Amino acid sequence: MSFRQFGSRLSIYLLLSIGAVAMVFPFYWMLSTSFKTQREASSIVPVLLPEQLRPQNWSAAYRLGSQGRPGLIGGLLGGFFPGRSVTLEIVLQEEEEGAGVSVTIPKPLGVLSFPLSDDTLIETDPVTVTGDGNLYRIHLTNTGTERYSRLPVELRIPKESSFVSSTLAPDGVRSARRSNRISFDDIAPGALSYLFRNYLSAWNAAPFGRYFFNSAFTAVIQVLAGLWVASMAAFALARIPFWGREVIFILILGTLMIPGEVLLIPNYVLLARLDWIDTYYALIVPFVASAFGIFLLRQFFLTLPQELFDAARIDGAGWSVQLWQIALPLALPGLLTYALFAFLGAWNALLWPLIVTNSEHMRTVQVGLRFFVEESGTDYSQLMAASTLAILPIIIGFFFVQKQFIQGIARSGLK
Amino acid sequence: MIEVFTKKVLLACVTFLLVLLASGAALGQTVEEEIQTLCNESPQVLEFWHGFRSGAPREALENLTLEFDRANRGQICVKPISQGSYRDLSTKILAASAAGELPVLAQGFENNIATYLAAGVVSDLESIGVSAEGLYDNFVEAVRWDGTLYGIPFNKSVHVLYYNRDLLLESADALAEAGIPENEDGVRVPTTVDEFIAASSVLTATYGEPVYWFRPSDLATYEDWFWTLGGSYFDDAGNLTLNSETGVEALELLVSFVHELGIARPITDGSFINENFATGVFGFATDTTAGYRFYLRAAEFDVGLATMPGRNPGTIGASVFQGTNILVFNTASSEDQNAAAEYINFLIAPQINAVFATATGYAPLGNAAAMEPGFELYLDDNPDFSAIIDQLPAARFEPNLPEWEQIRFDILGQAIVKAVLQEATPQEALDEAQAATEALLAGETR
Repeated sequence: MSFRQFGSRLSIYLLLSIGAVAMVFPFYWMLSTSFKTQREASSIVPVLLPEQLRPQNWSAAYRLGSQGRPGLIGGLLGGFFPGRSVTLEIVLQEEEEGAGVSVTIPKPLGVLSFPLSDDTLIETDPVTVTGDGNLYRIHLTNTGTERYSRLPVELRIPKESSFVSSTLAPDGVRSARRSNRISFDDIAPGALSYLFRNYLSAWNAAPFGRYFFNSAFTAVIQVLAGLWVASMAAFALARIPFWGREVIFILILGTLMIPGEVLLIPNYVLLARLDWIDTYYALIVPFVASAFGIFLLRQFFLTLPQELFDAARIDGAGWSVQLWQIALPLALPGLLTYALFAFLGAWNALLWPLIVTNSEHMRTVQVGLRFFVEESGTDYSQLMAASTLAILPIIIGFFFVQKQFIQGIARSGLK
Repeated sequence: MIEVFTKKVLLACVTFLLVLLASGAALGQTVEEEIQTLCNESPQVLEFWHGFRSGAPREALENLTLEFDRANRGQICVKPISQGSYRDLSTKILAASAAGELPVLAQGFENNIATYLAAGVVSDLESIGVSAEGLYDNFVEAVRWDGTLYGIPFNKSVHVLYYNRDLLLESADALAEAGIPENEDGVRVPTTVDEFIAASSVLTATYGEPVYWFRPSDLATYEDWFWTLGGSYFDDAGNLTLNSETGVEALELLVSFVHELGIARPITDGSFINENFATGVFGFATDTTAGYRFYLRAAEFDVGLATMPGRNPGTIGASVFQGTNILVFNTASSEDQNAAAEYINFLIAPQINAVFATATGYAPLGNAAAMEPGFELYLDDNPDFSAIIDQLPAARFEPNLPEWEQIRFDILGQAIVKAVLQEATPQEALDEAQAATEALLAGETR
């Protein structure tokens, strides 16, 4: 290989590598953020090894989890069960020895009564002086009869004291007017719940299981029904001569020019009159006849040799035989291309599912993801965990139909 | 071979994650599930469409609604349904109104109510038994049209001055030299516009970067300065005027913060101020109290709240009221409307309102809520929160025109961004916004 060839190959590889990194980076960011706390996620110096991925925190989480809930399940999934006692150790640098730490259980927002706080007995051992600082052992005991899945704790220490370490890394350390506050979202998490806690919180924030089913169901039915309608319409427009064929085709194409937002309210009114709001019909039916699909397949059918159809006609084949036995098998790549676009479009749809559904059990994954973008801030850790979950079915699907996927995209010239 | 292995590993990981998620689901029923159960056994179910997507407001609203539903078990059940953002919510209500499928209750800004009033679908709340007695007058007056009450203030926030108390304490000497007096807590917080500029300049010089952070796309920041300088959106004849002399002056002031004085950092990437604490030195922001919890969650420094700097010594600067009201649609049956009134009266009762306000950072709706023991206890613990109550008398509402949502986001909001980014002078940007608004109001454009 000449030096020049080597140079050109090197530059090609370099360019491709830069492109690959640029494409992979958002994905990496999503995955790594899903294992970070909110503060780690917003840090300007990238946190390479978040607390959640440190093995010493896993073992601490296991210990604390098994204190709160008996057995291996407790160690893995955590919880705060009746009669159990969880011990949190915290080391502080204090100006005055034994300046103290005050422990509270933060109340969920907007509740009038809060049994977890009433049921929890808080005891703090006298301070022990160690080489690192002053050690406090805080025991929290569930004296009630209720089982709790989480045990959040907030510690307040005097402004002069500073935090050194604790059994489990805290989720927040902040300065306040009269005290410094150290908060833990859950001090009895269990190893697995600790590692995957953003996933668990995201999953529990909304009925994502149901959302996944709805997204998958509507997407699959839309694809199947869309293929059925589009292939028949496209075949008629490509192969059956009839009066006004071109006009109809142009009219169908014309609908592609109208932005979906303009049709939002009229379509909603139509569906409401049909009594379809908040049903699967509303999520599926409006997308079954796709102008894009008809256009794509018509162009595909036009490329098939006319001789095949002529031969079939000589053998006595009608239109339906020509469609099902000749056109469709030959147009398989085109059908797959349309299926891919229809599936992705349905899976990623946001505004329409939001508008035509009311109840939680009818909503889709993309609507669910919006829960983490709030009025005055975004919970990136949970949003990224939920996004990772939302993207999983697409990735798994991609692994299995990788070849057809790449061919399909390349064939259509679209992305 | 490798591909098969990758697939197997991937499938194993996914299965593991799903099993974990299934087993790690919260113990017991979630609030939403409990509300659903109560609604299933109730003969009268009222849908309440709201625009809280998540976080403190949604959690608080759902928990309080659950309290109401429990107390009315077997009779009335209110079901809160999140409809996305406020803009998604108003789009959906318009669509539902056209289709005759409105819920019983909904959230709405003043200008949204004006739009729904034009469609004739809003109930007179007093006639169905809602009483606004004891609520702050300025909240209630904003939802009265010709003396009739069409909404009840609910989640009302106000812009205040956020500051970094640790930073101000650290620079106390330099601030003293700049003539910023100490407040009763020993912190040198600026109380006038001049002091604000002086303090920001001192901190900017000390830390080498602009310390006043704002989002040019958030029209409310401009409005804070506009109203503090004595501006008004309406001229003497009552015409909407965006390019008034004070309007231009306020925009010039904001632009000078960024360019001439170099004390302000505009955040233009669409993120919230509280998402950027790790990216620089935060000194001040003029921001909504609805974000207080987000600030506390994101900041490592001590977050302080104060009233807006006034134009003159001894005055409080003006700022904007934000947040929505609850309204009832007259398309519901009279039984449902009466039940909705019962629910509204529950939500605005001082004890409940105090719980909502302290949970979310929204303002208490009246003096009675602000004097509730729960609220006072919260104030003891978070003394900064009292700035919200002190700011209320100086706060103002945006115009309650049906077209305001469009003017706010698509016309005036864009003009402010243009001026801040120096794509137009303040005068040009506001003149252009005025022309666009006049065309919109005259029906020439949509």
